[in-house]
Amino acid sequence: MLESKLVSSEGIELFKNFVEEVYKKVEEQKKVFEDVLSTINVKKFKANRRWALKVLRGVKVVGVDGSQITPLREFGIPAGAVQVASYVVEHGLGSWEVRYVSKLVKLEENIDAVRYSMEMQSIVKNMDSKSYVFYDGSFSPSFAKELKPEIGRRYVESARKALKKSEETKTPLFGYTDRSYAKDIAKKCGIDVYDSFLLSGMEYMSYTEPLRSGELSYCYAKFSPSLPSRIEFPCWMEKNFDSMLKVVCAECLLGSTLAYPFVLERAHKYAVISERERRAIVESIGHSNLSFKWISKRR
Amino acid sequence: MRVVRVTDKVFEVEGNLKVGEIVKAGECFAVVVSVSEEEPEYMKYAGELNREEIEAYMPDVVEKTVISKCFVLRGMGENTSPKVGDEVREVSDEELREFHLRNGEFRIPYFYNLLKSCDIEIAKSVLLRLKRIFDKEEIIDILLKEVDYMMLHHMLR
Repeated sequence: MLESKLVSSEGIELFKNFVEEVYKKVEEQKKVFEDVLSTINVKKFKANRRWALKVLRGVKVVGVDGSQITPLREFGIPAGAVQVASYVVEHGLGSWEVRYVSKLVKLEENIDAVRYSMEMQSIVKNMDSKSYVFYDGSFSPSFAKELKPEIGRRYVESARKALKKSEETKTPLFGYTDRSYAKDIAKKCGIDVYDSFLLSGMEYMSYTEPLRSGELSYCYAKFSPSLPSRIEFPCWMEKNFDSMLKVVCAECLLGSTLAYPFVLERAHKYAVISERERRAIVESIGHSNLSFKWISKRR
Repeated sequence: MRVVRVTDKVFEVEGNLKVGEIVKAGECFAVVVSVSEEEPEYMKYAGELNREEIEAYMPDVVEKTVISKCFVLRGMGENTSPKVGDEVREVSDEELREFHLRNGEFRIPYFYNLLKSCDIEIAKSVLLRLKRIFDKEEIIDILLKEVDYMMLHHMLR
């Protein structure tokens, strides 16, 4: 504990020492990390943007992402809203569309859980055996365990339905987490560190073999000089893993940063409830004369 | 077409309107003063790929957004600014007639500000539209002559 402001000479010194301590520990563990990495099969893509066009020619890809306006905090009223966008593109053919689903959410509902379940429903709707479907997130959100059991169950059930539908329709499905805090590999090795950190020594454009976490498969792939990303997928996809992962790599090379799937960038762009849209909603609701006192009593 | 941005004197509409056209958004009358295209996201994705490749593989990033800027015709009663999201439509002659009449008398109190803030051609196009509706109003003829003189004076300077 520090008995002064954080941004003071004393506070900054403390912060600096803390960061140096963490780096020191990481350096000490580096050897252990290298040992772990050497036990995992890693392959590498020889890829560039022209290669990406070749891989994606004629391939239909869908990106699903959602956004939300939380009740009260932004609205000043006892309702929020969720909007989920499915961005569909047929690469090489120049055709694309965006499909939306939106829902108003009551104050007493868990808006994050509603959003997740709507995102999973949108994924299910896009399963047509012809598309590759991408989701910006995990099919096994670690925080679900920390929630009220009925809400946690809602997360698990929604994801399970999407994974099941993928297997039934043989529609490849990827959950892409750019910055993952999962510890599956680390736990197996008895280390308390994030997997992405543990595998930070992976080479650029390399990816691990498919690994299992319960009923879910996952791998790590390094498409940027930063930490590797976690990619989750249903177990049935392990059979054609290499060719399916090519599509993920190609999508990343099409993205504006060359390191994050293009379809997810676009889905995010269309899903976001823009500032002007928020203002329009707030202004239109401003006329309904809702009582803030009433809202606080309801809470 | 809908309003996407509002400031005190001006609002912006996503869509291609005609410069000089008089429009209505919510209860607000305005004249279109400019139409411009917002930069597409093309450059963000281009790199070594050419335009044809971008169009084929990332078709939505080459689409342009057209923004029409509209100057609010203030001074006529409650002609308050529109709200973001309000639909924008062309104004009929009948609506324009009603908008400019107070107790049966023709009025155009916004004209000074219009002249001060916008291109003179815009002011002229508003007057020409009004002339078609109020063909016997001498004040419109006087203003038109004044505008023509200003334009000529500007050209000769």
